Amino acid sequence: MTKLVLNNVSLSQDSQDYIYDLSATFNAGINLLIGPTTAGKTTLMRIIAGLVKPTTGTMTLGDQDITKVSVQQRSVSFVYQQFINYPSLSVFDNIASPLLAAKKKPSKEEVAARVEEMATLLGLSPFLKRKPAELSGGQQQRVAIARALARKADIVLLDEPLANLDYKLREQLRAELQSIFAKESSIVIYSTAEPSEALDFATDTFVMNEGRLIQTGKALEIYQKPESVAAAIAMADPPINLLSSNIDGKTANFGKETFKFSRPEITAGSAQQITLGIQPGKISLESKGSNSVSFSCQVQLAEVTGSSTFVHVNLESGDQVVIEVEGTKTFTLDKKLTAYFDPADLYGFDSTSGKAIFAPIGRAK
Amino acid sequence: MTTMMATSAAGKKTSRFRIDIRSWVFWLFMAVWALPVVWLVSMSLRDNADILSKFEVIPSKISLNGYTQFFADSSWIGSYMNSVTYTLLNTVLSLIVALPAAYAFSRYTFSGDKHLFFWLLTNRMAPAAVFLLPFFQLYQAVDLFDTPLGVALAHMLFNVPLAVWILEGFMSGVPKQLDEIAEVDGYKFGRFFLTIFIPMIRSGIGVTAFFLFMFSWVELLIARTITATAAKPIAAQMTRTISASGLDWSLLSAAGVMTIIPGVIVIWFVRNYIAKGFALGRV
Repeated sequence: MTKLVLNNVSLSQDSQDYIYDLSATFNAGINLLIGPTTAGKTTLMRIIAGLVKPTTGTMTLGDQDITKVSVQQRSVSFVYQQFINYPSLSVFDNIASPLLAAKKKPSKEEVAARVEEMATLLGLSPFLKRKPAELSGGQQQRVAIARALARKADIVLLDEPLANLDYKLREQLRAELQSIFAKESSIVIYSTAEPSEALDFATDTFVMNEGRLIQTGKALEIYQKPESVAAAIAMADPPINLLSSNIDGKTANFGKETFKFSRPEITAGSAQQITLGIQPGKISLESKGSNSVSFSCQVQLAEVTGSSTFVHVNLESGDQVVIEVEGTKTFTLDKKLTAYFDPADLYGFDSTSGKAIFAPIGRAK
Repeated sequence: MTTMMATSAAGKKTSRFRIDIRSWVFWLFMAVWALPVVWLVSMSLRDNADILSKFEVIPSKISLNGYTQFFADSSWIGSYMNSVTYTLLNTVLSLIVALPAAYAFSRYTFSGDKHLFFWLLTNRMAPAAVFLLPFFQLYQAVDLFDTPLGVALAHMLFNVPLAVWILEGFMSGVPKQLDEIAEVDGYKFGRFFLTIFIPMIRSGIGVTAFFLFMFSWVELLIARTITATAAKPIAAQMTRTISASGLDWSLLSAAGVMTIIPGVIVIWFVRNYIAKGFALGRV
């Protein structure tokens, strides 16, 4: 199987750094690139596509060094977040365009057959004669994806392809894409800012933050054991609660609440400040056994998403915490609540470096 | 019920009355605006004696004398063709030069690009008369004097900046990702530019061509100064017809009508693009 290997790739322009010393190996199949906006996902993809030359480092595809190969010569295709198609060409011509631009021009019949195949795969058959502007957003993006797949490139880059679509269409297209790419032998690199997408694909995941690759692994592993605060934030959906805490190996505090807390990772007796993290879903409004730690808080805002309600609360210390409550519930503003969590569900991160110190114990999600 | 119907009928009446007023204003405006043109067409269809003796807008006796003279006399039809030649030449050359330039301004950043872009516009700020003497002398020296190509090149001094300015607006409206997609698809730049990019901004090119054509077609000062007989423009010919026997009204009117026609044709072709162009670009 061919692999795409990036060795110490970096990019700096006008004395600004965009990508820092990045090394990664992308295997055939779907590779997921996740990170917040400005993490450098698009920049990295543009480097892989050849649209931007890296300042340092090399890229090899299989045993070929492609660092200096021009974009046109690279076997690569790209789908943008915005729906980019040739507006003056019909859907058919759009899908056929990479085939026609190839050096060895395939015959008319071959092109037509391939376009038909792609159109059937992506449900575009009825629209082949239309112009892209006459299609809906979802269909336009399907055209872009069909065009990207048509030439059977070694590398397929999808830059947040579903970000501009509405929720339902996104879910549907995401499921379709998974089954389509499962059959392809190309190296697919799919970038997203949404943790739910990463968890859904459940594949090799590369977490990026501020131009660095901060963690790689399977999506669920990263979710359960993030190596840093940034990775935890990138993979948490809904956003993880973070607050600083004084910990000395025996006790810790959550806002103004002090509770018994010990972990083998923390040496007893030495007081230090760390950042505690807990997912909104792990805080509840009912006590869940003797281990539970309770804290009091005041309601600031309640967001109802349908299946659950997110309650934003202020602690007495002034810290803000979000609690996920199942079902639709109403809360009056400034209402005093008592909430509970199990200390076993806490994440711990170094306050200065952001490195993970401990992760929740035991039970997987 | 009846009262309701009555009021609605009254409402209808007032609204129709209003539309009437509006359309009357419109037609009044059109009539005033069209009067000189109608007058010109009317005069061109009568002979000189008729024009000087009678006052009428709709000619009672049609005579095509003016037009026959216009087409028969080589100095008239010749100068007309001169104007058409250098105008078309100028439009085509300006577009050929301006398209790559506008693309560069729209897509690349280089040191001084903004200043250069603004400097282009300043070319249009100087009155044409400023350039008369340099052009006159230069053209004598390089044998461009009294040639349609010479006039076309002189007009390009004003038209290329205009074209770059307008086209740059249209090109910047095309997302840069499209260029990249084409590159990723494997298109060489030339092929992408000619087969994908240019068709995409064709309304912009239409609008630009219209402005280029119009400027060159109506420009008189430079065209007259740097030509003598061989490439004399029609407008110059029209101003040089006053003879001892007075004006040839009929011929002059016919020439006037003929001079309006190319503009009408060009507007007819770009009428759909121009509204879009005005809405989208930098016109």
